[in-house]
Amino acid sequence: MPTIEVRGLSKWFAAGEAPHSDWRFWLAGRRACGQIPALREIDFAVEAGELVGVVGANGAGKTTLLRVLATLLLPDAGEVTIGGLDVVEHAAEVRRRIGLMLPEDAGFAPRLSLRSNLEFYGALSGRYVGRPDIYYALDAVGLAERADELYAGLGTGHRRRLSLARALLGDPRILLLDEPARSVDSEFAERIADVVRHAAHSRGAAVLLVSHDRDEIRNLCDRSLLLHEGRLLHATTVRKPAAAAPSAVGG
Amino acid sequence: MAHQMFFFALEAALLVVAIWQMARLVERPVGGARDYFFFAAPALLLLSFVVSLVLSSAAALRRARADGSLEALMSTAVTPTGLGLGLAMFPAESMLLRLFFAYCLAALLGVAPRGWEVPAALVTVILSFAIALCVALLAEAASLLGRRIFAAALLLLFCGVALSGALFPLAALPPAVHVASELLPFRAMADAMRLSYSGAPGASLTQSWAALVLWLALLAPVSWLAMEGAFRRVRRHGSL
Repeated sequence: MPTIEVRGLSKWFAAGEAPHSDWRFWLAGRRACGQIPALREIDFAVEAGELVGVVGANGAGKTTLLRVLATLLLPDAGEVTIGGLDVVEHAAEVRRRIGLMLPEDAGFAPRLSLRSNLEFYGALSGRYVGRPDIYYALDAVGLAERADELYAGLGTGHRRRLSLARALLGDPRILLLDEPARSVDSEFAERIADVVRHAAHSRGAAVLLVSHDRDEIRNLCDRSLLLHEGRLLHATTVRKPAAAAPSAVGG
Repeated sequence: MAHQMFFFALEAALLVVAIWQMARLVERPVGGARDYFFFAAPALLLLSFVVSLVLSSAAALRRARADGSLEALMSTAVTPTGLGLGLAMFPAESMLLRLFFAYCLAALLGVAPRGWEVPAALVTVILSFAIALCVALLAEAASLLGRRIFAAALLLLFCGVALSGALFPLAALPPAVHVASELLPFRAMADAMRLSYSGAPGASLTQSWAALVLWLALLAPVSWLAMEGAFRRVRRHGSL
């Protein structure tokens, strides 16, 4: 059974606001009317140990797809299972299994240290996350030596690194990464590539990586999915998975 | 932390002094302030902190939603109700600290309850605190559902506090006001706190506690359903 399985997934968003004459406007403020499709009958599967890239232009539906997989959005049609569990019926259980990196580096407490922030998310993750796991995640993104510094003192690129460390906590079986290399220098982009390859090929995680950068997907992923205006145009095998990728990740 | 404590203490002191001054103004024609102070202070202190908890937790949710933290938190294994309670616990902690400081100040002024009234007041505070958490969850759900629903919920909250009888005896008002005040939990909180504080007969206090327990039994599942429903709706609409 594939670790991630998507069948006939469709998602629509509101197209505009209801007119003031609509009673719903007065009840709940700006009420939506009309719908535009964000995802249209998407089908694909990702096996354990596979590193799959989702590529497409802005507005293609990449982030929407990732959010549906992460249970942050409910699908309007179709079926999505993660590790055999339906994302609608078993949302909490699904979230225990995934490590998610969102495009915004939000949710960290500025007055807590990097270690404390990760301890907080480790406690909420539903997976066992001990102190070695936190140092492993910080080491993987090159922040182990700054573990006791405050989050407020981090620059944009380092905040991005910490977001990746949060996704790696507790060695999740599924990694969902949205634009992980955005706003980071080339050295760290290489490091991300190593971390992601290591997670997929050595630790057996199913990794779905979203990016608008085709080169990044081509260089990094085993397979790529091309989205265009909510439709899956085609899936391409980029290269065969390496048997055991050399790892730059410590721990 | 120390300066936060200082501000909690200052806030509690200002509230006690404000109620004391209000009592003096109300009772000036009669000549004494103590009777009205003992009538108003316990209920008003409790309700002001309950309102502060409800408003602060709804504000925390709105802030988390605006800066993207809500999405980050919802990607963890925490449930919507767990998240709502977590957001309410920070203001709840400060609410309990403020109540503690208010009690210390009242003790310094020689107007704090003593003897068996202390555990009675504690039971009332715990029950009221649990109800306040449920009301905070309802306010958070309302804030997720839209600005107008949140505004209506706030209006209901302030009407409920006004009709609780914390500031004035309800006996002097029309029967319709009595019925309206019975339909909201704040009257039971105000009555229980006043009875606990003044050492009134046990039967009346037990009746007020029973009312609080009933409110808690009603509000707990309702607030849980409201939070689950509100989060399901924002996940459907993509506005998390």
